[in-house]
Amino acid sequence: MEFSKIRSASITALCSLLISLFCFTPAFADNRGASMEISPVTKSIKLTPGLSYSDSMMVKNIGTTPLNFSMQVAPYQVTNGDYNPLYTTNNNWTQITNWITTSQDTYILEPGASQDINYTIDVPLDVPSGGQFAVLLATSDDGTKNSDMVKVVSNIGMIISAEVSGDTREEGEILSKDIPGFLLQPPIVANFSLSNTGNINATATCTMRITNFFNGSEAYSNVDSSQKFVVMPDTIRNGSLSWDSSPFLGVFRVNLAIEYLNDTANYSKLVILCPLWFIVLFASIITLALIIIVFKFKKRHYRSTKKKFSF
Amino acid sequence: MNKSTKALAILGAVAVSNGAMIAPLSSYAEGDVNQSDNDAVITVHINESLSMTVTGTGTTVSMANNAINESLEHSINVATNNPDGYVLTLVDKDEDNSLVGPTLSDATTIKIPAVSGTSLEATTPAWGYKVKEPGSSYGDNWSAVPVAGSPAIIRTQNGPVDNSSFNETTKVKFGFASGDVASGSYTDTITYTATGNIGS
Repeated sequence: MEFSKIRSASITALCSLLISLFCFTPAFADNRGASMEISPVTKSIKLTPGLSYSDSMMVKNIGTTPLNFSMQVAPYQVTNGDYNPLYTTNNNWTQITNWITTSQDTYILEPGASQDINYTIDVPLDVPSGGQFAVLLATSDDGTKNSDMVKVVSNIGMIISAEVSGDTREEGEILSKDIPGFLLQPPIVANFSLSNTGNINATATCTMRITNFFNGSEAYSNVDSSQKFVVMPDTIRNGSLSWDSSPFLGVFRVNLAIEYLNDTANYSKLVILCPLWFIVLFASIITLALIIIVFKFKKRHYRSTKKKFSF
Repeated sequence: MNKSTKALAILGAVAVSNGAMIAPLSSYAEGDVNQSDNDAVITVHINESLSMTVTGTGTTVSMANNAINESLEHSINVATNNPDGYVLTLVDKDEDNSLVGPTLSDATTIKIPAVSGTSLEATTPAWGYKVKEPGSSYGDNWSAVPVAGSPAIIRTQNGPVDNSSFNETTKVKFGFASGDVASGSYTDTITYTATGNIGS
């Protein structure tokens, strides 16, 4: 009887504990900031001075808590060469940031919900023809506390690449092209530099074809999937093509073809791929062979000299 | 009905029936030789999207004087099916990339400056960050968070890559060296920005 009382009390206590765990499980913070998705990612449009353009961008809360975000319009430019994005540089190519308005500035989205952000671009009459660039940003500081040592603002943006009608010019040139002829390790690369001195985007189509030097067989080609490089007006863009699966040893003929504006450049170079260890090994073998040859020659010379004087 | 009339009637019936068959054929426009009323064109459009999730925020860092703390780490997951890839940047929210601390009675604000070299010393107040790209590990060198206007690229993917999408996580670790600064809360605001590439 006593044992049964103890057993039932134990069962009751265990059930209570299990229930309490499920009912009163502490809400551990997952330290999650903003979790957002946008669509589309880039927008290329044509604008007419004096007219308006309206469109929308979708923002979705892909997190598990309500998302508070605001919409901002920022300029979009790039650094020369590496094309690193700049979101605060204002110049003649970013006047569009003053023409864009959104239907609403701040939003709250429940988890899984999405919102179409309507925006309008009112193009003034007296604006320069050609390219205009901006980024439409959804920005949020969700998940950040005032006591944080490092507070975080999350931005996710759609790039707007516009062309204002009028006196548009496509001008530019292929500044340089280079294929390193001796490599200690893969990949085989072809580098080039393009400039755009016009006032609208220009696109270069680049292909690389690599053949085995000894038997002429094709080792690599991206002719069927040529890579395109967009060059923004008043910028220089460095680009490269690479054969990422290059072997570590070999001799190849590399052909680089660039079609850019009205210019077509073809550049061919012999490339030797040879790792350092192979060079050392080869040099060691050659050195050893030379030592052996010299040693044998000296030995033969000594013997013949000895024979001569022994008579 | 005599035989010739019968024959004419039969011929007429055949002509009418042929005409009934020919008439619809004549409605096909010249050039649409292979067009069929039963053809249906099916088009599927895959929307372009970009997503970003930041975790590790809202973490309190506590430390003593003359110590180094490297416990704060952010994870930034970016996913996109943009064929030109994406770029992820880090920048300070303003021109001052120091951790701003308490203000003294003489109105002086104590700051922990951004690291000037590549290493942190416990006795020299400084802070910095380092990046771990997907599939790699943290390097040894610390970097100063760049001031507003000069964002640092912490991850970029150039497309096209085998027609596949990107879904990857970049980690950013922050290091703090306290030196002998006064006690209190030190804080700064940084911005992570994800956008697609303009075309690569």
